[in-house]
Amino acid sequence: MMGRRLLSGARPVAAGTALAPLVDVVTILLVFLLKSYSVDAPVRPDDPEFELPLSASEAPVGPAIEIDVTDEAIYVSGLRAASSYYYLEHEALLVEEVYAHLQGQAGKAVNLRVDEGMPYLLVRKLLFSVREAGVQRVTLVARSRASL
Amino acid sequence: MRRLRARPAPSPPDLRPALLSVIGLMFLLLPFLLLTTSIRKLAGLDLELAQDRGDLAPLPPGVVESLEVWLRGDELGVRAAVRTLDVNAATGDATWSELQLPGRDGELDLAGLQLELARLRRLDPARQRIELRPTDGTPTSLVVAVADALRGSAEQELFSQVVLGGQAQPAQEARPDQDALPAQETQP
Repeated sequence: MMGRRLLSGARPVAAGTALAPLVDVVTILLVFLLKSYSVDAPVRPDDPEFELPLSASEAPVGPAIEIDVTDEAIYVSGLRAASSYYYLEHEALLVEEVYAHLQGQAGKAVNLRVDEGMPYLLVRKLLFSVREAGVQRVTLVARSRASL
Repeated sequence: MRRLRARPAPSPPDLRPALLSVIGLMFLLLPFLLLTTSIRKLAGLDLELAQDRGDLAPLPPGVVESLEVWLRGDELGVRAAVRTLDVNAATGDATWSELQLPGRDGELDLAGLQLELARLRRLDPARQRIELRPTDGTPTSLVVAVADALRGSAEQELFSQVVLGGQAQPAQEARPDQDALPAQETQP
């Protein structure tokens, strides 16, 4: 009964009015995705515990020699260079392995990717070692608040 | 002439086909963006390494002669030397002040810090540099959070050059131009 009435007597629905809110929602989604769009690969995909500190900065990170600092080790360009524990416990200010690796690469830039829970002491020692090796440009990498 | 007047008004063009093509384009873009985007966006805090304090660019003349923020656990402190402008003051006289901002429920009082820094900024608007001295045990996340707060917020810009230094000394021993600082963070 109802179906027949709908089929026979219903006026055609204006599809344009139903599409307008859909277009609005999709536009908002698009803008949101474009704003937060990122092609940055995971920093340490094999270490789920590793998390970068959160920052309000939105400056991009360029290509450079990567120094990763986890609670276990210090990695230079993906290769394990030294133990984090050793340099946290000992008074040595110079991280010799990092210093040796950066020798002769003074003109290059360094990206320092430190786990958010690591003490500042290790950051200070690494900055000192990088500076001693003659590198002038260091970027401390963080997670942007604009992340999804 | 009469015939022209009698013609019915032309019906408005149907916009639906144009709208459908826009929707089609958006539905192509959306999955593409959803599939290629990463959940984390990286941000860089550029640090310029100075061999010692003398390598840092000279500051413009201003009444705030020294300004540093220390971070110890969940406690923050602002230590500033403001030039004494009293008529009886000798050349080079400065007033040292230190404000301690204890944490609230284990959280840093970043709002209180920004309030104090805004006051100092008003005294010396040309000054862009501030020193941050965390203790060695401070987690990196807190160092970055405080460095962000020192640079200000969207509503209020504070200091664009944050210099990372070593641990803060007790107030009575602190002097300006002491203890070389390794890294200067610059606003891109």
